[in-house]
Amino acid sequence: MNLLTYVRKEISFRKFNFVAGLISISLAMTVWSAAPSLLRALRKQTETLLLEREKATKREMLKLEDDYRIIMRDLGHNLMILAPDEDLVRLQREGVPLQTMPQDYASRLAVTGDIKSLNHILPVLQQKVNWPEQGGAEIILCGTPGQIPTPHRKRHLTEDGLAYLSPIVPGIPPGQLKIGSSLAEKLNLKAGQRLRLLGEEFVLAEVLPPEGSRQDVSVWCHLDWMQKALHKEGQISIILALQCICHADSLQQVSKDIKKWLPDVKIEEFSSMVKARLLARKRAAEAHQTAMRELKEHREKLFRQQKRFAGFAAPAAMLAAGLWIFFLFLNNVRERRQEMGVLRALGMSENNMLMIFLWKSVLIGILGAALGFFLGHSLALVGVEPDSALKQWYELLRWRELLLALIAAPALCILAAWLPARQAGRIDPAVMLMDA
Amino acid sequence: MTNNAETILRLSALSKTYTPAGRAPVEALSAVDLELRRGDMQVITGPSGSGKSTLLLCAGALMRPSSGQVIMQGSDLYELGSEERAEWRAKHIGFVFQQFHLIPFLDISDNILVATLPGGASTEQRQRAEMLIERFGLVERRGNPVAELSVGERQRVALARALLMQPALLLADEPTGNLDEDNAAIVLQAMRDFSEQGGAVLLVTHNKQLENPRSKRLHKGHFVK
Ligand SMILES: Nc1ncnc2c1ncn2[C@@H]1O[C@H](COP(=O)(O)OP(=O)(O)OP(=O)(O)O)[C@@H](O)[C@H]1O
Ligand SMILES: [Mg+2]
Repeated sequence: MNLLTYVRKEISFRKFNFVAGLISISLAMTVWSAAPSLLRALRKQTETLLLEREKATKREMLKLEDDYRIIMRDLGHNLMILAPDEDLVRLQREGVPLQTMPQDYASRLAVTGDIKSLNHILPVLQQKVNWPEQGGAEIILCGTPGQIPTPHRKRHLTEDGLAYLSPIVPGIPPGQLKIGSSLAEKLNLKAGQRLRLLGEEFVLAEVLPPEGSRQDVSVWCHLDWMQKALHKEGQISIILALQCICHADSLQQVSKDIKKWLPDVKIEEFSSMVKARLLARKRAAEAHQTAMRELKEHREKLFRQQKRFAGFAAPAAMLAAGLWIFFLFLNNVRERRQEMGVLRALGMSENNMLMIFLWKSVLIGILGAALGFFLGHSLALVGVEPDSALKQWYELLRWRELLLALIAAPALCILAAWLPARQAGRIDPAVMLMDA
Repeated sequence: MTNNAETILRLSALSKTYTPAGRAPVEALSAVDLELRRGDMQVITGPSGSGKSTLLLCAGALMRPSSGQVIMQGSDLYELGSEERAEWRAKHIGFVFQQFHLIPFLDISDNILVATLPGGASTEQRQRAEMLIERFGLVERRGNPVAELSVGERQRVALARALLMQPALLLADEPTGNLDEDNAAIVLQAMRDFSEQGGAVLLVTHNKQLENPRSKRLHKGHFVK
């Protein structure tokens, strides 16, 4: 039997004393070690939240951009090139151009000019007509031969260079029509049905999806037939240049390029749409940043609060445990005065008497540190995020902190037990033996 | 006088006056002389309060006398520092008390071996403990906690503990005070054996039955016989 065995035997003899000390130091170490784990778990949660938020926003932004791309394509007349004598105010009022220009203006831009900044060039003849076969309903008739292939977009063209492989605006084959959605609904027309227009028979190839624009009351047909039917051979009213501009700034340059080939045409810029798109993107980004900042600030505040609490609670718990252990040891020494007197009478040194109590305090400290550490760590994780507590248990564990706990707790216990242990060493055996 | 080499303990002009705070001093011992040699078993009787325990504690290096000397095997015990005195007690003096003073959470064998702390017992010491357990008829009770022992058995354990380190001097304060006749006889016989094997025993008691022709009587701190 050495001193440690002796201490162990006393511990199992006076279990309450030991357990009471153990519980107090365990609780203190629970608070002590819960604090950093809690803060880590909070940080981790914040990171995850921010990351998720960022991802969601990125997804939203991409979708937003995609929406704009589709809108720009469908309605997306970046530029409208109009006949020299077109009255823009009347155009606004009427909704359709009233003047025409030669059809070869379009090929001059697309083929001869081959302007690099113009991608999709679509000549259109547009005119309001009454549809005699449908009770004289007013429609906007639009005729187009489809996109004119431009040499600089060679890789998007067929081998002979005469057509697009997949045009963004498909042409309308002769003998077919496409009809806006409002019109189709009003006249009860269905895709696939045959119908007549200005004495000619057509197949209704497609009802165009609703757009909330004049497109919804338009009828699209092949340009050649429309020119013949309305006696406007070789004439068009608009050249649409689609998807050719990415930045509002470069619009001026494009206008200049066009004027080089067609000096007297009128160019209507749809720059507002481009601006809207840019603005919308900026707004979305701003909203995102504000949300992120607010989230970050909120989390920082929470973090600071927890830190302040931890900074107060851990020392308070340690102090309380230290005091409690001090009184437990004081009591333990008082209970064991007789025993100490005998040991001293039998020749044990003052130092060894001190060690009996210090070893006991170290055992309490080590056991309490281990118990408290794992308990504190677990509780912190469960407190912050119960669902992933088990998953993160190991990840957020810091062995260095366990080591620190295994040093700090016994140190605290030694400190608390020191005075009582000293008292035990100084017990006068003669007084003890006389008292008995 | 006697041969110095034979002398184990000599008390000369030993006095002890207690000075309790706020009360009159009590002179418990006044100028007591005593010499114990190898093989002596000195019985000292006296009524309660006559200073028996005081004498024993002073002789046992546990309580500094007010004046006078305690010389054991040539060393003046109170010239030593308190840690040296403790070491001296461990090596050379065995104690037996009326109240046994066993350690409640140790079994018989650990109680006997308690003086080997902090390092623990050597093989030789363990063998000696076994021998003592056998000699005092404690074999069957060896693993029992001391609370389960009879008083006689307890005093036998205390005696074994006192004898473990093979001291030169055995000090006993009313060792039979709580015992029945049979157990008292066993304890007294063990002490007689110890002195016959070359040790010295100082036994204090108020029991006049233990008086013998060589015993002394203490009265108010003086030897009256
Ligand atoms: N610490 C003390 N302070 C004051 N007086 C004391 C102290 N210890 C003992 N005395 C007194 O000293 C005297 C001797 O006491 P001591 O205990 O040595 O007597 P004793 O012969 O052992 O008595 P008993 O047979 O009752 O054990 C007594 O009068 C006692 O009251
Ligand atoms: Mg006494």
